[in-house]
Amino acid sequence: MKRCRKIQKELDRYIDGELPTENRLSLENHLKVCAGCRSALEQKREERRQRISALIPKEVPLSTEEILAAIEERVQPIQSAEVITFPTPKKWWAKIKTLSIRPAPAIAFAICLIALGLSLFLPLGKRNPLKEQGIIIEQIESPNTVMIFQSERKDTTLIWIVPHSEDQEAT
Amino acid sequence: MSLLFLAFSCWLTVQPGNAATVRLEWRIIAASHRKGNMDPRLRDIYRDLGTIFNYQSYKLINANQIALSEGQSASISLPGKKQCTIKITHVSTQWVNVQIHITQNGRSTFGTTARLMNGRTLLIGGPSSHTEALIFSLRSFW
Repeated sequence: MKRCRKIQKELDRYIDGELPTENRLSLENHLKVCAGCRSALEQKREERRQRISALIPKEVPLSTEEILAAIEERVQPIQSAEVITFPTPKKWWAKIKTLSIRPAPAIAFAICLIALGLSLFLPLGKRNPLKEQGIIIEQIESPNTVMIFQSERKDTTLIWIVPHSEDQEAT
Repeated sequence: MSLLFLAFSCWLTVQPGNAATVRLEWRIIAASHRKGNMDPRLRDIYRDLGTIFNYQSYKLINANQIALSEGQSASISLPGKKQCTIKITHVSTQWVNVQIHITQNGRSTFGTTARLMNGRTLLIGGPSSHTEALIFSLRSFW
């Protein structure tokens, strides 16, 4: 019953062909098995036929050409053509020119900013003497003579103990 | 202002180096004028050994790693009844101060205080016999 009420609400749209395909198929399947809804559909179609037939035809006094002519008369002709052109968007470098900033001081300021940034992040002129020296020998205590060597890359330092002539022994 | 003070106090308390542990890698290397091969375990310092010495072959006798904090020391036995004591006297972010003492029968035969940077190698060698020498290698990491 609830289903029939829902179906009968859609009958007008079904007659007008406005139902989506899925809904139309569902409705048609219901009509196959429901005599009451079939009867309601027929009733609605009959009512439509009667309404249409009750309309009194009226002749339109003007032909199509006459109607178009009447429309043209009403439309105001454009006396002076006003061409409106929309400006093309400026490229970004063109926009810079329109700014009220003098280029020379702006460029100088930008260079200063870049130099400041580089000096903060790049070790320009900042050399770490410790890194360059590698290992620093601060103190040596030895009864023997020692020689200190350093590799080319300065990451290896050798302390070589030179034996006394009267005291040669392997370490 | 309070945030600035908090940030500054955090910076003061989180100064690195005071409780930092330094990893020391030590090696005992036998160098010889006799013809031989380079021990593959010495590949990382082969080039440096070659530029400093003119020995024909190098062999790794013993190696180990120790972790020391500032003020701590470790003792390593060397061939020939010698003892090598390593002590960390200072640790900073850039370098570590190392004291090395070599003793034989309780008598100091060599001592040095060196400032090692991260990854640097200190070699102590000699005195040598006619054909062979022992080299003590110390490298620091932190």
